[in-house]
Amino acid sequence: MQTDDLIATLAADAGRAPGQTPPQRLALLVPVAAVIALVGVLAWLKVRPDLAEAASGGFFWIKASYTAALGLGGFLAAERLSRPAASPRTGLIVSGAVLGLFLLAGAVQMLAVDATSPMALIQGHSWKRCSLNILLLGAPSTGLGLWLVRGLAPTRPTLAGFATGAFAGGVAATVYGLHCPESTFVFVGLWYSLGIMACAGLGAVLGRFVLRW
Amino acid sequence: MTDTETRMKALMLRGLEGDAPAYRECLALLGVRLRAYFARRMSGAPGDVEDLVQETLLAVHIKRATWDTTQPFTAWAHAVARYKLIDHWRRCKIRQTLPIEDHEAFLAAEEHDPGVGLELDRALASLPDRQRILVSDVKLAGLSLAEAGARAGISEGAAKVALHRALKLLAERMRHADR
Repeated sequence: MQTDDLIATLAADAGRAPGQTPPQRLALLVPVAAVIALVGVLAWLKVRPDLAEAASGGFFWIKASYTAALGLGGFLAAERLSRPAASPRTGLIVSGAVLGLFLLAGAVQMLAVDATSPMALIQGHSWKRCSLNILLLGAPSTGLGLWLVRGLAPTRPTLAGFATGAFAGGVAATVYGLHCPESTFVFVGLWYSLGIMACAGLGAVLGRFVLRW
Repeated sequence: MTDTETRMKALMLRGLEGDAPAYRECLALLGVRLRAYFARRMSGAPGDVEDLVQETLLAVHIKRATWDTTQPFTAWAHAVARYKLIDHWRRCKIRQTLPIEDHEAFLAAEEHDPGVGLELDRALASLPDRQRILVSDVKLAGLSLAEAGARAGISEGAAKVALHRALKLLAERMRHADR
């Protein structure tokens, strides 16, 4: 077939592409990732027993907002990175600012506490499990997110995979807050961030190979 | 540069509204630029260049929803072309780098003779019969989607969906063809 024939064929299919727009397509991951993580929390980790009490306190929501904001940054970056020639700047700024702010709050909290307990603050009750749990809750959604991104047009696969993982990890970590009773800036800033980063890292490694079109 | 961008963007926007002649003109202008872009960067046979031109045109069509219409169209199309060339090199195990910044050079429209691409025909031949017949019916001048659909015994809407699927499959088959 000559190129002119191909162009004629494509012209017969003029008009907007059917289906969702890129942001709509990626947004599908929010409910799906939330449900996957929720099933993981309910069936495997169990909901924290003091949930009702915790939900009436401020930090529960600060924690949820923090992880959701990191997920939002991942979403914004992934949405841009799914398009050729688009810049992920906004998403990176959002994530960077949120992370920086939370780490700053953690540093202040460290300084405010007396010298004997910084390790207790860092380790909390569950530092060995926290990041790993978030990675496990977020890994399936990271894979699904990569599949969604692959249907678009990512031209920087590693970076796009990273953003997708951060997006999925942010959603998973937010749901993980239903299980995890930790309530300090230090702990959340460290281990939750690390768990989301692990999802992002997983997305970057996989994205390098699977985000091809 | 701005002239080309303004013109192509306007044509593309009309194409997205369903204006087939405008869309066709846009793709034709793009095809010339793609041919020049790939020819300057590939030492291989002109047939390889044409394969890549066709693969990129298909990608531009199938991935058109990822163009943010508030952004320049040529920058987007250049990024698609650049990606397709890097992908081609990767599959052929050629190590090369491409500057991101040659978007302006991308707009140059030197004329190159179109070579003869083989991959598209090979991919087309591998499509299921119904899809293959639909594509060749539409390709023939004068046969609209409605007419091609009528020949296949389906409505225009169904023909549009079938053509869209056929083109997607075609793009996939082209990419996975052995080079």
